[in-house]
Amino acid sequence: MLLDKGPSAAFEATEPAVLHFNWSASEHWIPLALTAVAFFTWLLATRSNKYWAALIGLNAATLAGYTAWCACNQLWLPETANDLGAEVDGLFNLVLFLTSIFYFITQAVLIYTMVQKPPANGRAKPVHGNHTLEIAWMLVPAFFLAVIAIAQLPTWAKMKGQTSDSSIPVGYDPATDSSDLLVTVTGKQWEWRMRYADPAKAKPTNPLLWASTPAADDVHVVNELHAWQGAKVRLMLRTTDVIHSFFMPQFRFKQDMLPGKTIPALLRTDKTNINSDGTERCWEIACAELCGGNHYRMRGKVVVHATREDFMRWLSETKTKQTARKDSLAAATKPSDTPAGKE
Amino acid sequence: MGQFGTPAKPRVGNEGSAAAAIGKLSASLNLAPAVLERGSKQYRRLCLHCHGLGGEGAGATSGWLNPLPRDFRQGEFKFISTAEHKLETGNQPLKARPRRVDILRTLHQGLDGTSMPSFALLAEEDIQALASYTLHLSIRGEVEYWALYYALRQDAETIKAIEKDPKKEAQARTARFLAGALEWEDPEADVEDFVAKTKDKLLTAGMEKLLDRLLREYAAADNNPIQPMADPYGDAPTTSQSLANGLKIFQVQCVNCHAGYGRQSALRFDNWGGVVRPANLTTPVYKGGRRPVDLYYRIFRGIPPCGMPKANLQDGDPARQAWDLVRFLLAIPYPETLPPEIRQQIHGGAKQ
Ligand SMILES: [Cu+2]
Repeated sequence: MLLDKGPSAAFEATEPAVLHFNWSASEHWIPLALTAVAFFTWLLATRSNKYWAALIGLNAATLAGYTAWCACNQLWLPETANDLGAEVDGLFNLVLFLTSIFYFITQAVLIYTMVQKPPANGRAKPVHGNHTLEIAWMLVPAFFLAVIAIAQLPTWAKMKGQTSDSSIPVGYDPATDSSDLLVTVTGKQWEWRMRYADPAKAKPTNPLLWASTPAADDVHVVNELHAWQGAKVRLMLRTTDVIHSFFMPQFRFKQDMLPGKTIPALLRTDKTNINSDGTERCWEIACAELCGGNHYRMRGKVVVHATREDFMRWLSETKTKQTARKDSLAAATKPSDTPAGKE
Repeated sequence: MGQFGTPAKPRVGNEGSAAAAIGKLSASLNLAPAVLERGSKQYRRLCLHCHGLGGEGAGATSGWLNPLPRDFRQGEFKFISTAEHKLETGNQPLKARPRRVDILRTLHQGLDGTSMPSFALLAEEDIQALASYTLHLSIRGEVEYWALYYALRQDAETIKAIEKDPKKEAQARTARFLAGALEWEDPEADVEDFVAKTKDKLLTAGMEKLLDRLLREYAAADNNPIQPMADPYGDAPTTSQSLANGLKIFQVQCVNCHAGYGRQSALRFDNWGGVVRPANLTTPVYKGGRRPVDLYYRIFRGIPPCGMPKANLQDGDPARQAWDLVRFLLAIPYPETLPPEIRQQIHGGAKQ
């Protein structure tokens, strides 16, 4: 398969979870053939403006067709994990729609100028210094940019604001933190260290302070962000070394982590990724800021349990493991009964 | 090629008179060729750029890391849960060997506070295969190290000749060494072939013997885990008395190296020639794992390659002392959990 959707059930860090190109050995002719086609069309096009115009038209049509095909086949954007994600997609589509209109208009103008007959005297008509035109191409884009700027305001407020229900950005106030779950995510070269405050216990009086001074009964997990459906999760984003960016594509969530800062963020989990048959859809965490040699290794997964009870069960199991006074791992992984041994 | 194959086709044993015995041993350690091949593939994808192709800890990205990536070729590991034991032959193991689960724990959890990340999201078979390949590289590295050591030591006569007429002999020796080394550079060959071609057959037999011994040592380590003494307090929360006892033991056993509870630890060398620092116990970062049992292992086995000795808790009630110390260590980073006088001593006035 040339285009391959990532695994849907089990998380396999060995393969990218999102849409990716997967060249199999027999498909290596594709880039070669494309290069050859491009070269010969270029040779052809240099002979006449008409060929160039046709090529530009063909290009625009292919692009539109391919985009539409991807959108129809669900290859365009990953699943959205919450309502906010759907809003972000709406904005994306709006911007795509507006820019497409102008793309096709400019391409049409370009093609028109290339195919029309040259004037009889052989000289082009200059438009330099034409005030009407200049005002037009300032006002029209300004209008559309203003439309985009206003359209995105409520979403931006919800995303960057620290309360989920205000359409005006609100700064973080530890005293009025109404989240259900506190998680400190610490980016480090090259993994995510998550620390959970036990939601069954009293919330830390100052979550910001808690983010930098761990409590004794916190639960520590690597590379896994767990929550439950319908939770308001307060993320405290930190880093121990360089700038990382905490990216969860399904949530359309991306926030840099800056050295020396604790950045609060609010995450709403409107959907679960546990299917009814108990399997798990892969929701990925990735680092979106080149942070060093093993940047690509900074991957994790999000698990949104169906209910708070499921989450609490997972948390208490993890806590039991963390406070083990005997080695349970030792008994479970004797070399004799490992699956790899039977190969 | 030889006893260990190539990175694409790794194996342990399979050649020489003891092949059958060694094959059986390596299979019991989950070092079958199919497993190693899978492990090698993942190793070259995920580990090579830090740990290097041969496990020498000097991959392309290693220079930017502190602490440096582990050099597996010494056959030594820091975070082990192996009890001190003797081999069937009555000999001591040459080095403190890890148990397979120790390597698996590191692969699953990573080493907090270092650049070794967690690989827990890989398929379990891949993690198992990586553990096997790590063992392969350790065994291979150690055998090859001693083979080279003996190969060069056998050159005592050459060395004498050099001492007599440094210039002439040194040139001749360099030429001879280069002739051998050029063959060795051939990617299809390995140290063993180099040794076999340039030196005598005795060495090959010696290597086989060493390989057999190492395999037995790793198998013995697997069968000799530390059995933690039961916590006399059970699941009860830590009491002030327990913390006070722990502090007392700490001040006798640990404070020499973990000065200022680790805030002012002096740097020291480890067996790899790297610089290490006894852990700062006032921050809850535990390289070898944060479970109470992990701290127990550190206390009762120490960290042999770094010179961390095991605690000596013989007098009185060792189980109580051990768990007092573990509970104390786990409480140090959290001032709010300490009784006022201990908090004062460790954290001054700070409450959080
Ligand atoms: Cu990063």
